[in-house]
Amino acid sequence: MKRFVLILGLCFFTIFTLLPIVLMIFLSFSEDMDFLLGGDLSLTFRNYRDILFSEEVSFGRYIINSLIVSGLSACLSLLLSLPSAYAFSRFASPFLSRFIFLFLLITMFPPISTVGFLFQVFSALGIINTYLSLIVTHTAWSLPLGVWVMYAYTEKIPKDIDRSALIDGAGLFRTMFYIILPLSKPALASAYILLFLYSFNEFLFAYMFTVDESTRTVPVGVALFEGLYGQIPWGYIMASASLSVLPVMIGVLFLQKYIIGGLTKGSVR
Amino acid sequence: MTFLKVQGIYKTHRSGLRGKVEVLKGVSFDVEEGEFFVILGPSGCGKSTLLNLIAGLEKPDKGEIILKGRVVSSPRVCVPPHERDLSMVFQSYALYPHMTVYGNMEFPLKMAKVNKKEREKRIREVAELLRISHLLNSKPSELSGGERQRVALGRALVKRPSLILMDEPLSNIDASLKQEMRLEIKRIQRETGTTFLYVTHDQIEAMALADKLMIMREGRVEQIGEPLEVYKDPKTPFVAGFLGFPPMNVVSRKVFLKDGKPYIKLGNWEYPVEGPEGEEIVIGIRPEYISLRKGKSFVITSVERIGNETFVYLEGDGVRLVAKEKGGHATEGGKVDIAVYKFKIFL
Ligand SMILES: Nc1ncnc2c1ncn2[C@@H]1O[C@H](COP(=O)(O)OP(=O)(O)OP(=O)(O)O)[C@@H](O)[C@H]1O
Ligand SMILES: [Mg+2]
Repeated sequence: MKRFVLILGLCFFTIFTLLPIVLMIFLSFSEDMDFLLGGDLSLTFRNYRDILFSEEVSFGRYIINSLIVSGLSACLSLLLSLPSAYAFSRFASPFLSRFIFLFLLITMFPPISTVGFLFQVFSALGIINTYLSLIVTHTAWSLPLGVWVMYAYTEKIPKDIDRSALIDGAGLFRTMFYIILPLSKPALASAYILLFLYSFNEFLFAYMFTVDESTRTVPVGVALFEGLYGQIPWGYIMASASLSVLPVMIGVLFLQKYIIGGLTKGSVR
Repeated sequence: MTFLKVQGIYKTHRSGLRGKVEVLKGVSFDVEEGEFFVILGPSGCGKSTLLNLIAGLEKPDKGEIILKGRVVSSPRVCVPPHERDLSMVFQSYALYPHMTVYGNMEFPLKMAKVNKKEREKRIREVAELLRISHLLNSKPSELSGGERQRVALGRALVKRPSLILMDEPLSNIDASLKQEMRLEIKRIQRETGTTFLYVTHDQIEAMALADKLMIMREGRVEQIGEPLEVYKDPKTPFVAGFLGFPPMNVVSRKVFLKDGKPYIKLGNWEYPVEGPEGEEIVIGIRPEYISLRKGKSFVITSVERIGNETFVYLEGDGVRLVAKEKGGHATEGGKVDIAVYKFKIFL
């Protein structure tokens, strides 16, 4: 009986999460939206052909922009997260570490409240419509998330391990590099995915700080389809969405093998 | 010059849930160069904390640690561990899980910029000594507890520092190998002249290894001395009750008057003492100094035969005692009287 409920629950959950994706893929291959209203379903590759190869839409460019911005900002954010998390975990007073969650407040800060100000600063610096402006803001906004994920993991690495490294003559930096970093691989992989996704899906900053095709990211590009055609081109949007899921899926599949637990097994009794 | 001087160390742990825990309450002792200094004490008395302080992993709240004439730890100073020329075997082993056994032992040497050839030579030597040569390419997760412990030991030894801190390095090794390791450790210490600070709660280990023995209790030093001296002449009832196999019987008796003279009494056994009537006197009696004969003041509650020795547990006159006999024909439930050959009065 318990088992039955469990299976039922799992089925429901699977359908709940998968249905939109299946629908999205379906729609990306359909000529029009008629079949949703009971009309005939006609399959086609036109949507894909159009967004990838037509003159007006440079979807390929958006994907490349997105990959560059997300890839780099996630890297940068991770690079900063690890030392902060390590420092927090090992050197913050018990009092302070109780408040580490306040870090996340920064993420809860509505971006809209700062975007105008940032726009002026970036204009003054002359970096509007560059990757740099996006990478900087995305890194800053995703950093708390990165620190949070890395902190939770670093806390689980037995402190005696890095104490031992300190005694063995590695200073703080070498301890971090030779001990904490390799032990954090699983967390680094999952954090990277999260940070990447944050940047990949981010809209407001990307919309404000980009001016033309050269820097527009996927969400911005897709949002602008409407202006391009006067009506909402659902087929194009669905095809773009399906395509932009691809690199993320490949990334997750690739990183998955690092997301294994038990890496510190055998270290302490 | 004293090699290591620990002076009036106080340390309080602050943890989120338990609040403040005063772990060390004024610990002082001296360790001479080349000495095998053993710290013995019950679980939770602050031994590991003390080693962490000496290693420079934590800072004392009060007091000083002076290593080779230099103040390395005080509330204001904390020389980092790698500048103290020491290595440490952690109670938890603390191996590097992502490195092989070889890599684990190589790490301190790499950090010390020892060249590759020398590194390999030293590692092979120590591995041979600790019987882990066949494990050099394994990861810690593939080892048994005892093997891990020996790797931890090896990692501390390859570095050849002037001070080695060991926190119960043999606790997880089986009896026969333990004895062998004990001899090896002692031999290494003699040959290299390294100063060892060795924490254990195994008194056999302590007796066998120590040049100097320190007994700790609840963050305080109870007694320091040569092991035999501490064994023979315990200064406090706690030390007496902690050392020996089985440990000394410690009982408290009230002085009473018999024919106008002060006496103490334990079951059938009476002994003249000095002191006013009603005063509590704490005495210690080693199990081997109690002999049993048929009688009625004590009941034998249990009997343990270990080799050719017999531990006889007695109950009577409001106390529990243990007596040690050679051979012996005591039976559970039997009633006996005691004779005491020798005892010690604690003031
Ligand atoms: N980081 C910490 N935070 C709070 N309390 C601690 C901390 N470390 C140790 N303690 C407490 O300090 C006391 C002494 O701990 P310590 O590890 O020094 O004992 P020990 O003598 O090594 O014991 P054992 O023989 O069991 O290893 C214990 O009561 C322990 O709970
Ligand atoms: Mg301990």
